Order: sequence, then C-alpha cells, then structure tokens
Amino acid sequence: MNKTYLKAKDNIKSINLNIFIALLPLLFTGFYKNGLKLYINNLVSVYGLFKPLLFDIIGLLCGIIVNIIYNRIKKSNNKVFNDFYPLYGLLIASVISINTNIALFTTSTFILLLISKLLNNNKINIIAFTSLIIIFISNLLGQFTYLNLYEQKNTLTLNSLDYLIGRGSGGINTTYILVLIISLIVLSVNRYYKKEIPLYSSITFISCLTFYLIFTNKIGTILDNIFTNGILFSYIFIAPEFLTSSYTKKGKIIYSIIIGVVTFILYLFYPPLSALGGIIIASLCHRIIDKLCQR
Amino acid sequence: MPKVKIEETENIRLSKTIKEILNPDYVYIPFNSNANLHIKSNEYVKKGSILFDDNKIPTYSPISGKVIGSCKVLSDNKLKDAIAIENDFEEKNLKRKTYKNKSYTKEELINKLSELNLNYNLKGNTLIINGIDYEPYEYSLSHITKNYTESILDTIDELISILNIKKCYLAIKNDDTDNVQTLINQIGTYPSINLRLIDNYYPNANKQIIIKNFKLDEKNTIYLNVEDIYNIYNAIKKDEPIYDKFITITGNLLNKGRVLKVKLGTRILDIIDNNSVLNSNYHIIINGLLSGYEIKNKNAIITSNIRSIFICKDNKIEQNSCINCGLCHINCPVNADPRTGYNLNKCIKCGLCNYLCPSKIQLIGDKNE
Repeated sequence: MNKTYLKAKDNIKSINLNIFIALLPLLFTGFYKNGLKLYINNLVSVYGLFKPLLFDIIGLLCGIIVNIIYNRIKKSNNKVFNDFYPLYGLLIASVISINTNIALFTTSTFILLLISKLLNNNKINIIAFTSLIIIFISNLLGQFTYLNLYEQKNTLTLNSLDYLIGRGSGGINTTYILVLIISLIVLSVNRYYKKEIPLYSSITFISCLTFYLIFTNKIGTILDNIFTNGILFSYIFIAPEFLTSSYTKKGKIIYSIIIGVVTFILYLFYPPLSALGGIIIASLCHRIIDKLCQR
Repeated sequence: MPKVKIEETENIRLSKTIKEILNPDYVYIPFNSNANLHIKSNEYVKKGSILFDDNKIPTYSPISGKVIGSCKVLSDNKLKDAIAIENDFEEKNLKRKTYKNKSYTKEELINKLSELNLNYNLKGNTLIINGIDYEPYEYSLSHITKNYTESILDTIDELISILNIKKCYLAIKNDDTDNVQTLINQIGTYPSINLRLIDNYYPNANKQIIIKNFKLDEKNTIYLNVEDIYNIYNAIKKDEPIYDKFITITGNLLNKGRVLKVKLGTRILDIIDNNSVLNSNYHIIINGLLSGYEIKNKNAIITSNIRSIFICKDNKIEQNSCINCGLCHINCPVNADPRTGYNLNKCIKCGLCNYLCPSKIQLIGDKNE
C-alpha cells in the first residue's frame, strides 16, 4: 500500500466543535448561576451580570491570539481552530472562581498558553497547570473562595437534587452536575473521546473517598465532596485532554487511577486544587505509562 | 476486536450487473527474467496455449492471436517484461477435456490445480470460504456469489468431500441482503456448508482476522474466497486455467461503477469506459481506497492480484500534527502502534490507522504521499 485515499470525517476542527457543543450548556448554566442570578438578586451591576461570559470570551481569545502569534513566529499557515488552544482558554475560564481577578486571569492564561505553545513538548496538562497557578495566586492575594456573592450572603442547606441543578460551589461553569452528565454522554458517543479516563478517575476517587468518609463517620457529606470544587468537570473535560493523557488501553486506566488517588490525597489538604493537582501529576507520567504498557 | 464501520461518504455508485470485457485488442502477459519461453515473435497462439513456464509452473494465453513481441508493463506495481499478444477475436481454444462427472482424489485435484497454475494451499481440515469484499466500495466477491451461487455451492461441496474437510464455513456480510436471502434459500441442500453472517466492520474480510474471529488454527485451515472457488470450478469442470478476473471499477470520477469480468493482461486504461475523465486531474488507485496503491504508469495491466480500480479526483487533505488521541492504536486489528512501532511486525497494512487519524497523518505506507 502507499496511500489511504479515504479518510474519516473527524478532524481537529470537528473535534473542537463537538467539545465546544458539549461545553455550551455549561457556559449558559454558569452564566445563569454566576451572573444572571446575582443580577436578579441585585447583588451585582451589569458588569457583574456579564462577568462569567467575559471570562469565557477572554479565555477563548487568549487561545486564538496565542495561535495567531505562534503561526506568525513559525510562519505556519495553520488555521486558528485547527488546534485546541482556544478550547484550552475556555476550559481554564470554566474552572476558576467567579471571584478571580480578570487581569490576573488574562495575563496568566495568555502567558502560560503562549509558553506552552512555543515549547510544544506536551509534558504537562496546560489547562490544569494554568488553572492551578491562577487559583494559587488568587489564594495568595486574599481569601480564595468558590462561593459567588449569592452563596456568600445566604447559608444554603443542599440536598442531592440541588447539586444536580448547580447549587453546589465550584468553578464558573462546573457546578451543574446534570448538565455535566449530559455533556459526558454527548462526548462519549464520539470515538476520539477518551471516555475511560473520566470513568475510572471518578470510580477511583469516589471509592477512596467513601472508605475515608466511612472511617471518619462523615459519609453523609459524600455528595458535597464529590459534586463541588469542579472535580467531575475536571475529570470530564480536562483529564482526557489529548496531548497530555495516556492513549493505550491499559495506560488510560493507570492514568485515571493516578488521577483519582492523587485527587483524594490532595483533597484531604486543599480541596479546590485536588482534581487539578491529580491531573497535573498524571499528565507528567502519561508518556512513561504508555511506554510501560507497550512493553 | 475493535469495531470500525467505514463511512461510505464518497460519491461512488455501482451498477448491479456484471459487465464482460473479454475482447481487448491486446493482452500483455508479464514474465520473469528466468522464465522459459515457449513461443516466439509473430507466432500464432490459441487460447490456453502455454506461453512460458517459471520453475515448471505454466502460464497460459487468455486469448487467441499473434504474439507481437515484448514490452514493459506495470504488473502489481512493478515494472516487468511482458509478452504482447494481438487479439484475433476468434477465441480459438486449445482442445481441452471436460470433466462434468469426474470424481477426483485429493492428490489428483492438487495436481490438476497446479498444472493449471492455481496454486492454493489445500492443507487442513477446516475450510473457510470468504464471500466478503475486502474494502468498502468493492463488490466483486458479492457479485460472484450472487451470479454463480449454484456453481459455487456445488464446488464447495465437492471440495469438502475430496479434501475430507471436517468443518466448512461460507462467510458473507450480514448486510449483503441479496446474497443472504439467496444463500439461506439454497444452503439447506448443502448440509456440510455452514453459512456465517459477518458484521460489516473493517477489516473483517482479512484472512487473518476471519480466522481469528472464527477461533480457528491457521495451520489447519484452508482459506479461499468465492473467486478462488469459481476458478476451481472452471479447472475441475472445464479443465481451464484462469483467463479472466472479476474486478470492481468505480470512483468519484465515474458516473457509475460496476463489476467487470476482464481478460488477464488487459491494459487498465483500455477498460475505463469514459476516457474523458482521464483528461482531468485523476488518480488511479488499485485494490481499495484504504489499503490500495496508486499507479502513475499508463501501461498498468490487469493481474490476478487486482480486486478493484478506483478512478478518483484529486483530494488534497491538509495534515496536522498528532494529537495523541490513540485512535490508530486502539482500533488496530493487530494491536500495533504505528507511532511507536509497537507490534508493527504484525501489521496487515489495512490502512485503518490512516483512515481514522483526525490529523490526517499517513501513518502506514508512503508517508511522502
């Protein structure tokens, strides 16, 4: 054989579009929870109303500009959406807190994405890394919280249904668990989506957590622990990121177990960074995992 | 086993009838440099005359006519010397015996087939007959099954008794509705033939994959396809070597493709109906759009290894860098990884990795193409 003339329909642009479509309902629910709801309750101005969308747009633009700059430097004719960087920007915007400083978000996202693109070594999950840096700096600058103004002003008692409709705390677009499950189903029908990763990561994390909570007599808080801090969102959208996750059958399972275990360990110390930390550690190992699995 | 269904998105259509092109002006029969020629220039040959032998394996003339000399042709993508024969369109046949009711022993059958240059491996006690075309848009085997059902079933039945076969399977695609219907109606008369309906996943028609799916031992399995059975039928009933070949000719530059029955040695350009397409920017792809090869030489000829010819327009696809999705590896039927070289020695060159790659990278085959 010398050439395959027939090619499948999937390409990077269509993959980008499918992930964006799966993300779109979460962007709307994020806008409702962190913008519209606060505006209706007279907690924020018009700027506050559109702040969640502003984060999304800035994230997207950072990715686009990074691609344009890279293409100029490398004199490449690659199209802007033939690459995942705009999506990376959007995902970073999704996991950070609504209370994040916009200037900090913009500069960190732009600089780190640009460095990652120029280095092009795909050793670390850049979405998780950038988000972690932003959350870390936000924490250094003052009291970091995932709670929006509405949640800060009202003490809420939540049941399991509340978590499904986004009343738990977490990143801007990460809290609507029901929508998140629908997004997972939408993504899972595509053959390129590494569906084993969110599945096994969640199983590992939930198993560890269940044992721990049984042991400490806090099993009643299990839903609060699973559905908050953007853990499921990170597992569904960030952990299966193509370039820095394992791709072999066994590799994907090992990679997911590492994520789940590390998330659990970090969760005991500082929950907001746990899933991102787990993903970063696992992404650093993804090449060696695949190599070992092919021995 | 991964299950990949090929999306038949190309604008390729096919007629349901077989067209015969058995009267080419010239045929070209390729030979190796060490072949022992039995003919001379300007000599008249009958259909079935021995042209040359290679290690005592004879090659026969598929037409009657005058030997006009030798020339270079592209045979199975290799440039070779060939004997050119000018057709006299009289089909004068070398007298051959017909054996309508002759019963063969195993040894007699093997000798007969090798005498007629039909070199099949007939060792084993399980027989698999493949009626599934290898690639999408190929329909030759399906058409042969449909048009010669009775001869094929009779021949398989005869082979079972001659070769002392313990188990015999006839595999066809489960969505090949015409053949499924016909065979289900007729198979009752042949209790020793087991009809197996196979899912239309690629590359389920590959010999290795079929044997693996049937959980059989490769060493003890005889693998033939329905065209081989048709050839064996001609050999044992009419004492005929292979003169003709069934091929699918189609592509997005042809209005309608079809299955052709053509003489071996016919020039490929001579069988393309609408020559006007050849004035445009075209590609001639042999043996499938996934695992085939492109030919650029206009003197390519039909050989027994050609299953299909695709005349397609230029499709320049932009390649991107690898996104590490792993589709090439996790869908590989032999669990190879074309990126790292893992298990690449087992590669069956089906082209599935090239097909699935969302970055459109040519992972196997000519990477410069």
